[in-house]
Amino acid sequence: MNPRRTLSVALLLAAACTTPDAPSHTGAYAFDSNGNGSGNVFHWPADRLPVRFWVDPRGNLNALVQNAIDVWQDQLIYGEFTGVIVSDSAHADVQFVWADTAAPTVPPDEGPPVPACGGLTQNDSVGANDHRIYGALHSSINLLVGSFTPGQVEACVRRTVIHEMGHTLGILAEAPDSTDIMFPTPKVPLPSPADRTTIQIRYHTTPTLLPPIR
Amino acid sequence: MIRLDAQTHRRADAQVIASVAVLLGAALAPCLSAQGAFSIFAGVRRSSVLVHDQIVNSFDVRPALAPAFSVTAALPLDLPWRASAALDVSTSELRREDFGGGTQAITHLTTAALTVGLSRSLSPWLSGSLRIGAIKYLPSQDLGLFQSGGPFFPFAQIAFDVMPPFATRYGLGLEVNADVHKFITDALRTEGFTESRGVVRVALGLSWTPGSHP
Repeated sequence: MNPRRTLSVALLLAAACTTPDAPSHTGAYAFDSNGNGSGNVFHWPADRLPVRFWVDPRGNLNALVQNAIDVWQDQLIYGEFTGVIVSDSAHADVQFVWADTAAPTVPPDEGPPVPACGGLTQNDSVGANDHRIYGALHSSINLLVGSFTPGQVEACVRRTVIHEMGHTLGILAEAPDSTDIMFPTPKVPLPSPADRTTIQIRYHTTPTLLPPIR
Repeated sequence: MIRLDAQTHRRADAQVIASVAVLLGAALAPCLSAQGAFSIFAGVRRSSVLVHDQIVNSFDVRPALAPAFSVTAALPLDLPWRASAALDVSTSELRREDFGGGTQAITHLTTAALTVGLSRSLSPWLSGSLRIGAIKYLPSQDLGLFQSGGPFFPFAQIAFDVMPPFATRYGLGLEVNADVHKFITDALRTEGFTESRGVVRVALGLSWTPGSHP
């Protein structure tokens, strides 16, 4: 083989053999139920995907939950989580509801974050012997009383739905940093790098809790 | 809305590839009827790893063994050379392969490559081809790794067609081809990958050149 051809083949093979280093996945916060690494951990297993979400039909909660599904799917790029909204609450894994009044459907305010709403995620019970969650997970969004504009409420609800969905996906603790969406009163519109790393590590760690039976 | 846009783009990509193939065929048809030939290839293709990462444990992402098809149009040049243009398609599941042994489907993935190249006889029963072009990844959903859609990459392929005398009379041959391209997506860049990865694919199958037999 002539030298030029040999060189071309060698260059082609060298290009083919490039193996970039895996990025470091550091900066996660504790995701177990005690927030210190000693509590229960949970994630939806592969055979339970897509996770089924049922949404209160009032207001624009459906669009906000779909947005949250998309946001979390984009954090888990290796197919660890997919979600879908279902119309039958009896067959849902997670239910999202307004605690009382639905927020008005307006464009979100883009100013500084205002704590105009709250959220809560809980489950019915956990089996003491089988470590299985029983019943669907419930997330509720409540609007706080105060002189908030509709846009501030919408922005708060948008952040809070993403935050509560983070809990339903397995981040059972609150983040310590206000730049994370999983901070107790979320101030940022999207998951931070720490949120991203936390949910990724969560989905590559063996859980101690089993998902609810469908 | 975002998902609808992604689907629209995917359809547009498929339409562009189909249109190029049709135009290619239409442009070459008059020449082919006079002195050219076209051949069809069907076989299986194995791909090297697209992504290697470590989140708690190491894992690879790669397409499963895939059926592969191609259509090649060839025109004679000065002996023994021929010019060719080809459309190559393969489709299979994209999987995450954990080093512990588990696998998980991520999405369904189709690749389509358009190439132009040169072929020549290396012996009475063996011909070789060198092709260059572009490869397009077409995921079934714009999710995770492919959340920004399927990327394009420059692409090079080498192929050998073995035509033993007993098969030549039917226009049949045994083709082995290998191709190389670099792979990275926007989601991987966000994840922290800074370099693209060299991907090698090898396909083995039967080729058929209608009308080539005596």
